[in-house]
Amino acid sequence: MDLMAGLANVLAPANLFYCFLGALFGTLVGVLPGLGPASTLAILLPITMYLDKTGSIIMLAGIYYGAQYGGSTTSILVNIPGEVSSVPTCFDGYPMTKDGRAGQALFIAAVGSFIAGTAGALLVTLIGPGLARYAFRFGPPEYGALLFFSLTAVVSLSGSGIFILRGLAAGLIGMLLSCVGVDPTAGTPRLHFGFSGLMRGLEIIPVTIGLFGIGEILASAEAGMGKIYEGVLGRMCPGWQELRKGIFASIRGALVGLPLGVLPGFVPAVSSFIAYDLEKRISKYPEKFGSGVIEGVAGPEAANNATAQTGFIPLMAFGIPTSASTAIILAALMIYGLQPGPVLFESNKLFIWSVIASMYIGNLMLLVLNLPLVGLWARISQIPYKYLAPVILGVCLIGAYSPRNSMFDVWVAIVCGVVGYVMKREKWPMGPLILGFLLGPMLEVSLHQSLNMGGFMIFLGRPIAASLLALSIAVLGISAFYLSRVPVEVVEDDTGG
Amino acid sequence: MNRTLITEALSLFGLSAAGIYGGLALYLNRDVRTQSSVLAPGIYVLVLGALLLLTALVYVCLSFRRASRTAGVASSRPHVAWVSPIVVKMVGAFAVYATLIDLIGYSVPTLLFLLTEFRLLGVKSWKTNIALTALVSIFFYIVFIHYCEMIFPRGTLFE
Repeated sequence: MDLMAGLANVLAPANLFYCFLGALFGTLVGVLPGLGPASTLAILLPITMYLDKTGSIIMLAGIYYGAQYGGSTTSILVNIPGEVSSVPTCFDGYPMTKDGRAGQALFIAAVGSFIAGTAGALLVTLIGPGLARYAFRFGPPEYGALLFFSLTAVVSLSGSGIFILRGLAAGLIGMLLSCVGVDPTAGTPRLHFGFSGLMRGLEIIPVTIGLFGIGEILASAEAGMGKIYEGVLGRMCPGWQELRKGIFASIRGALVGLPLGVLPGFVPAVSSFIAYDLEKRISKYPEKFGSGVIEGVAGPEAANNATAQTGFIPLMAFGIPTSASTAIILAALMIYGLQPGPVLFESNKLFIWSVIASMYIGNLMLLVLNLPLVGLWARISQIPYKYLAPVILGVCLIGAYSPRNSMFDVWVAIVCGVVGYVMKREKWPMGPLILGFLLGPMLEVSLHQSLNMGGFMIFLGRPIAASLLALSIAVLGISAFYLSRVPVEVVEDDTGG
Repeated sequence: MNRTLITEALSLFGLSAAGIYGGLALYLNRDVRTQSSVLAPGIYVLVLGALLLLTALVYVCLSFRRASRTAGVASSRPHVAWVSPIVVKMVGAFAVYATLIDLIGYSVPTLLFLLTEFRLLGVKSWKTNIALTALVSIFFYIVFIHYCEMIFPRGTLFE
């Protein structure tokens, strides 16, 4: 019933328009290499302050899951993944293009994405509200433990070898940066070192715009872009046998991606690699993978869409983002004064159900946008970067300035841009940094409240909190064990010099 | 030891030192009655700073060992300039843009910034450059000043 009310609200012309804009921007972002969903969300975040809250969140969510659709287009056509999650799609998608089967690869990628995206939306509908009701049992100790678990999971999954230490350092830096400004419990200024600008604290918008927006533009400008697809797409719909294989692979990919999306740290890129590996392992002809096998396109594409979609479950039910993109969506919710979590399902029913309903409509729009218009996207991916980058930089400056009308925030964005570029270049994970920045203050407050309630022992005396802490320690232990087992050569490859 | 590792080490140690100093200053300068509390002001920051310092130490040690082991072995990675000229120019232009906005307001620096960035990124024809700058400026005006009603600095020189 609630979903129906949400659906009716989404079908209102304004919300439908925002949903379409989200799907359109998402596909565009996915298609254009060098511009990811996190950076686009960061750049558009300040603009959404001037829009209706339901429409804005519908649009931002659409950009996030829409980018997973568009990311496959350039992977298949020109062997350049639009998104990291589309890297496995290159392995068999590009050989299909070289065989003259580009149209079929794009078709199965879109169908796989649709199957997984819709399954993800269904899971959000079924699990989200139940989980949110369960979250009512969470007090400060449980929230503190959940936040601690999320941060440790994100850090542990930020890579293998020395990448885990980089993830940990990035997470701690994010948490330290979030401390700049006023102590949320004592009300005293801290970490300002005599600068009046720092006394007001660091805003999430300039930080994300710098790290993801400006940082990505600088990295892309250095890398240089320019590969163009000039071939033909060929027949779009594969034969029945191929279609059947593709659909089953999509279902398997969705089954891999759906549960992973709920866990912090499992960004779509991780699940698409797992799905590709699974397809290869269960295949009767694993040796053919890499030469244009349809399952190698369908599985990873479905998995990354499923993960992106179910990432909304912990965000909506607990207010815990699982990736950098969902962290930015959380920041958008906070800007509107909405605290995701169980209360949101009670106090803003129409809003939350409209966002959930928009996922079904959005996925349908994405299917339409990605099937008949795929030729158009292939052409758009040819827009030279030199025309886009200055415009995006101009928008970045306005975005950083607008939340507080402060030039100090512009300087924060510039500094964060340089930091983001260096991190990207030296392969430092940015997800833990932004999650640490966003979750740090929540962790501090819940830690403070919990300790006032009963000292450190309160975490062990409450079953949910104790289980979550045990899980965190287990995740840390597994990571530490893994770190010691990783061969030196692999660690060297990971550090990337 | 390569320059990247030195930069990483300096940044990590610098940030952790700032955290520890900030936390300690806050803790020691507070009311003595709040210092006995488990999470007295400054403790949280102090713990974060100390954890970062510990992580930085382990990371730098591991990286240093790795760097010593591979010293003299040819790297399989393509050589990348430590400081990329295009990035330095783009960041420089951005910094000048922000400074000029502070001094003379939003409009003129925006035109100059767009002209410079298009040129830096490879739009060699001045005609195309000027046309693009004009188009983008009009777009910015319509969206941000007319539609979003944003207020930009008028410039300290004109105030």
